[in-house]
Amino acid sequence: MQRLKEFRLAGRALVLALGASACGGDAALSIQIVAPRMAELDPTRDERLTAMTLVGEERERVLADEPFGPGDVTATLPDLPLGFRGPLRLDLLDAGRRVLGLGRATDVHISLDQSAADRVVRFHVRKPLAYVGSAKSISVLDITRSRSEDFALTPVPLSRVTALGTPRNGRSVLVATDAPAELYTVDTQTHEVSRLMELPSPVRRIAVDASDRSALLVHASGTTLLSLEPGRTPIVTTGIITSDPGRGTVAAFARGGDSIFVVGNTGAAYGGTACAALSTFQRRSTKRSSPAIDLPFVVSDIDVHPTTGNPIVASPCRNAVIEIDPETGAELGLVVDMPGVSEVSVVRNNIVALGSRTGASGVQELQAKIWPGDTSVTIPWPKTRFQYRSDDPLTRIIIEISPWRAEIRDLAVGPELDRVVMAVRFDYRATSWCDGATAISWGHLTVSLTTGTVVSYVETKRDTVTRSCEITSGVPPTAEHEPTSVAILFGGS
Amino acid sequence: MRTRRFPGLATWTVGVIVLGVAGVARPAAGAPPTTQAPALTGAFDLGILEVRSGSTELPGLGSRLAVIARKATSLRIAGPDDARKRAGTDVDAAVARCAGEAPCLAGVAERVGARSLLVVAVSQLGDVMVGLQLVEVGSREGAGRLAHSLPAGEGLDDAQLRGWLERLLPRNAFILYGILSIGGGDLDGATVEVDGQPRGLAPLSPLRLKAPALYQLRITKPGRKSFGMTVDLQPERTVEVLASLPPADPGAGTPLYKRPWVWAALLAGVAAGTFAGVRWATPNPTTVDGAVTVTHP
Repeated sequence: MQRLKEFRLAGRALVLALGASACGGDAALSIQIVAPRMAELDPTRDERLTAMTLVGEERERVLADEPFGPGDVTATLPDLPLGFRGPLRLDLLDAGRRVLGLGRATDVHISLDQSAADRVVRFHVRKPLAYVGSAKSISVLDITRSRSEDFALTPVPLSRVTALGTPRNGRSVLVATDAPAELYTVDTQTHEVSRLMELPSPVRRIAVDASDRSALLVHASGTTLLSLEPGRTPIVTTGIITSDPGRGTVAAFARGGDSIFVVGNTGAAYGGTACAALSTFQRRSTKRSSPAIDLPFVVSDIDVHPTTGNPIVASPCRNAVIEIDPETGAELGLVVDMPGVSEVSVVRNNIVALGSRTGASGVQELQAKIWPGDTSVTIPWPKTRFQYRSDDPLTRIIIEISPWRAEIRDLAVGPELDRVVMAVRFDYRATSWCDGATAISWGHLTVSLTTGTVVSYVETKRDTVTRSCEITSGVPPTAEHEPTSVAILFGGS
Repeated sequence: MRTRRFPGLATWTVGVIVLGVAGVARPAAGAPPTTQAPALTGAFDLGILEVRSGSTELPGLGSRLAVIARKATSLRIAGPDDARKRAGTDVDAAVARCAGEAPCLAGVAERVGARSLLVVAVSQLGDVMVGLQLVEVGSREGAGRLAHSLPAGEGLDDAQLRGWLERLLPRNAFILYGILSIGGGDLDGATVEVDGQPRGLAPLSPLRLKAPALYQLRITKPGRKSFGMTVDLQPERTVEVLASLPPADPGAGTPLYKRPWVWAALLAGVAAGTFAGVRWATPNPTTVDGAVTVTHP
């Protein structure tokens, strides 16, 4: 009986060995993962790493999915399809398939009819880090972690930050400062800071076109277009484009990057409603390609529809994200219908709309909707706690209050459409208790759209009138500052 | 009896009967369900009573807290209904008359037969105010108090209520236990290890272990195959493991070169090498392997 069992084992070993050799391909494609030198920035040394996948980005086709552990320096991705052409993405994953790091390679052709040098594909992998700028420094957050883990990394020591932008290649982060208005880059391999140039005026937001050739700097009443050449100082190519007049200007590149949509809120009346003006500029020209078009509603944010390429604008008054015809200004349709929408962001062919609204229970809450689909997420804003002052140590009268007003100053959505990092301000008021104590809280908030929860709220500044109470929630920040801007890395290429 | 295989251990033919393991756990005979109130004849660790003043908001808040406390703590809980059965229907009025005085509330707790009393007060003045007061019978003093306000019409979820209990009750009240019982016909003298820690020789009294938790159970006995499994122990549940340890492999100790499968494996290696060589020389492959290297420039 025992003999029979051993013979069976032997047969199984033979079959396995033959099968393994039959499945193997030809080791001919060299894949280099270029990872940051700093350990805390390097996703290949993340202790949660368990696997890597190679994905054809155009159709999200998984070409390989193999085990890969922290500190591994070699691996084999077997059976890659010969003849494949297109952009590739390499994802580094944890056991729960969360993307810990990613890199891209464009225009890859998997072929044996190439020289050995052409068979090398390089992926500059980066963690999906969030950068939160403020007057004090740039906080760096690993959005794949929760607050209880190593969520906050070493900050970048660059102060007076007003805006952040992430080129698609992920090699650097663009940073605008004020007093004086200047532009810097932060190297994402080392977090070293380099000064690029002086700017004509303070910048509120930065957008980079899909090819990383241009950066659009949004000022209070117009935009500046910069030409970005690798290894060279950026050049101002258009000066300030004004959008007649433009309070609260917002702007976005069209899909190809050659057109720029700029919207400014004019404050003028249009059929009794305040309105905005939409202008379209060509990247290589300072002149508008057509006259400015009046929009009969106030616009708070703009992006570009991932399918049609038309501008889409968030309108808090119309409670919707609306697709606009850039030639005529005609409304082409409501893309997302959502009360209180103030922000719109396009991530991986999805449109994410966010805003603050009054919930069914009468408190302010964050609402997010994702297009396409019916995904709708509601997340209560963080509460603060007031406690009545008392000499009795056993008496703890604690009042928990939701903010009556929430302001999203800037936000960025992570590559997996899960985490959203926001620079926020909350206003609290204890109307019936604590003799009307008030508090204003500034900080950066990270939420998960998947679980509908607050991952972390880091309060960086607090103004209070506490009267007969004191605030018990959170730790008062030591060096107070207001977060101004957020950007998230989408891997390198 | 079910027969199962446990990879990683040489227990190919171990017979196991498991009652109430993870997901299909069922209490052993006589074990009380977790949410059932204890019999009224015994003393309680905590009584929970509710008083109201001008508010119909948050109905049944005291009973909800009792349900949550029974699930979340190892305390014997008397909810409002249990308290009324034991101390009479006027017990709510007695609590109201105490007006928050700790010695008076301690007296009510004694009537209920509880060692401590949690009074839940709901009032309304625009917003709804909820106050919780914990009183110890032994010291006849208050042990904690908290208050919370919320807009009228807004509910409270179970997580919030549990959070309040965690702030008021001692931390060790939230440690829960389950029972691991080990039996089997041929276990006498076998060494029982739980998570690598020896727990004695079989037969063993049932083990009271913290729950919920996963435990690695291992039973060894000289001359017998060892037995191992992962036990998913849930609070207030009994998992009964019936293990049998068959005789050890009689073929153990045979030199490798006398085992046919070793020679077969060698043959397989040669065959695989030949096959791979042939395949290598075959033209027009459809796939290619990617050799990955990591660099830090």
